[in-house]
Amino acid sequence: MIAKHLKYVVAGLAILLLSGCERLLIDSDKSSEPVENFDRLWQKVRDHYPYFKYKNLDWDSVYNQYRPSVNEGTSDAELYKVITAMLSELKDGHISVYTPDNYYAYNFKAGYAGNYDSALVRKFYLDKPSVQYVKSGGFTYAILDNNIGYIHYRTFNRDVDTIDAILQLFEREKVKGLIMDVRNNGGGQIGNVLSLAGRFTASQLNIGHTVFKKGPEPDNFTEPLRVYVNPEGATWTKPVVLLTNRACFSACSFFTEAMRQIPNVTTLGDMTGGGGAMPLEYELPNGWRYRVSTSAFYGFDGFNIEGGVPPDIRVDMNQEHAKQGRDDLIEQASQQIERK
Amino acid sequence: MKIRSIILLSVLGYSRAVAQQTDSADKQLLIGAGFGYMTIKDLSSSPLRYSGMGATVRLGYEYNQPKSVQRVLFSVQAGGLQNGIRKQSGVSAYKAQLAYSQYWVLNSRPRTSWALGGRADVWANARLFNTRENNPVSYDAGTAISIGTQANHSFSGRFSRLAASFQLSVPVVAYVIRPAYGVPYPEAFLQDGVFNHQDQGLTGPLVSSGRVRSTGDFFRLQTTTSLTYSFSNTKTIRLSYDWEYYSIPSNLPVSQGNQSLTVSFVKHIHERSK
Repeated sequence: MIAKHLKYVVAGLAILLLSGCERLLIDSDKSSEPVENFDRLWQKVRDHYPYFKYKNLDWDSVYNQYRPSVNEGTSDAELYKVITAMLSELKDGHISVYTPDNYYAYNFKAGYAGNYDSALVRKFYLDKPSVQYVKSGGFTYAILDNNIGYIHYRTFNRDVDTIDAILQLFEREKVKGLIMDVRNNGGGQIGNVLSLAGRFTASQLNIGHTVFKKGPEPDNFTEPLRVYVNPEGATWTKPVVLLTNRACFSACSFFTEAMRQIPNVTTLGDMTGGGGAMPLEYELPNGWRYRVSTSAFYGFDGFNIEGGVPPDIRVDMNQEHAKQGRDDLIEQASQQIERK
Repeated sequence: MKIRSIILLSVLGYSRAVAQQTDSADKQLLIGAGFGYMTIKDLSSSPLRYSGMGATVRLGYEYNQPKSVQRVLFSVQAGGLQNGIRKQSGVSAYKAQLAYSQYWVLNSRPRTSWALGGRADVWANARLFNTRENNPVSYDAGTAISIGTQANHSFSGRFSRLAASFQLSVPVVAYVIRPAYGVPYPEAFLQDGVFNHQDQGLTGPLVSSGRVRSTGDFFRLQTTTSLTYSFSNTKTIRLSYDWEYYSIPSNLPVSQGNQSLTVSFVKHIHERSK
């Protein structure tokens, strides 16, 4: 009886054996070894980070500086401390590390004024008997008392198509111009940057180029790749003042650089936070997640936005004025539009 | 490579041991559902191996003749995967495949048959890394022409309503789409020197990394083992175990294993000819 069915038993066992084989074929590089994790992170940054020359940073020297602090006995807490100290040398707000117990990101806003108070804007400009503000997608908008359109866009991760209805409303109401406020916009999707900027130009605009790091040497880059903004959705041709502050970061800096190349747009406020790279996220063998910048964007004149995009008109919020309910950036933006 | 060869030889040897009679014409419609288990290592996103359970569904059509077998099968599998270290780092994995197979029977004995043939299929695999902003999706897709074998066996006596089948296929040539960075942007840029994201969305860049590969730089092994129980001449139920392993070498290689256990209901459109 057993002999009769032996071949089926063998066949069934063979199938079970095969199904287990995939774990032999697909090995895991899982490792809690501190040196291996340090080296993997250092190498990934070396291969992908695009700003070593711009920041005058010798990454090999950084390795020699921090690597001796890591050995087989290094604890997770110590490794985190060494790794984040090493990454701080990059002075890049896109760089981050996530561990089960900690989160690291470089503070690119340190030393800069806030220059934005959302409560003040809402109380004294948007939430008044004579003004009705509306939230739509990522946008908050209103027609201010002085018949100027105001839009705040809080993140480039939110779809931009709803702005068409807002611009059409402003057009119907014959507003004098538009204050586009991207203060505290921490960035998001690059597609939304180009799509939103496309509302403010009637013709194709070459706004610059981007390069990707493609190898371990500091100057291993792809060829420069042109970046265009194409007209999209409702086209706005009246005066625009774009409000920026240091917390306008990454995609927001990219947007600011694109907008300042459009003739009817004036940028006003503070230097943006920079962040000209597209960061990608990976994992270390110990399971820690990290982000590293992989590309660099340059404006039409070759301007590197990594350090921030300066405004056409530099304005800081006066705290005394703020106490009186005045946002100096909105006030001066209104004056700019009135003058045009 | 050695491990792959051993597996291939084992499977080929095993396939001769399984059997079913195919001496009559038969058209079948199949619908099934079941559980799956996926294992993935995708270096575009992580050096860690992810694995986890999921679900699978399939729709199929099969035409069995005394000397040949034709089959069309569409299957979808999805699952939630973990790396075994951090639950926050979950991956949602999806697999879809449409395959057409044609086998020619080489030796038809009273209860066993052995067939050789080939298969053409299109597939897409996507891995969605839940917490990532700019590179949440890693994917590969393509089409392949494979060689394959099939063995069938009909049991006798009190198991006469039971039949077993085994199928195996290995691609000989394939067109594989696998972005080098795990995100399509670089290919989009490099396509003609222009960042065309706004105009084309991801439609163009999605496929621009595709190229023809042979067995040396694209390996896949797919097997199906099934037991079929006939209620009548027109209705059967089938328990299938599918196992697939594939590997795409590149500067950021991906390897994936898929297992599934599926229960299918089979409707015979025409009664068997005696």
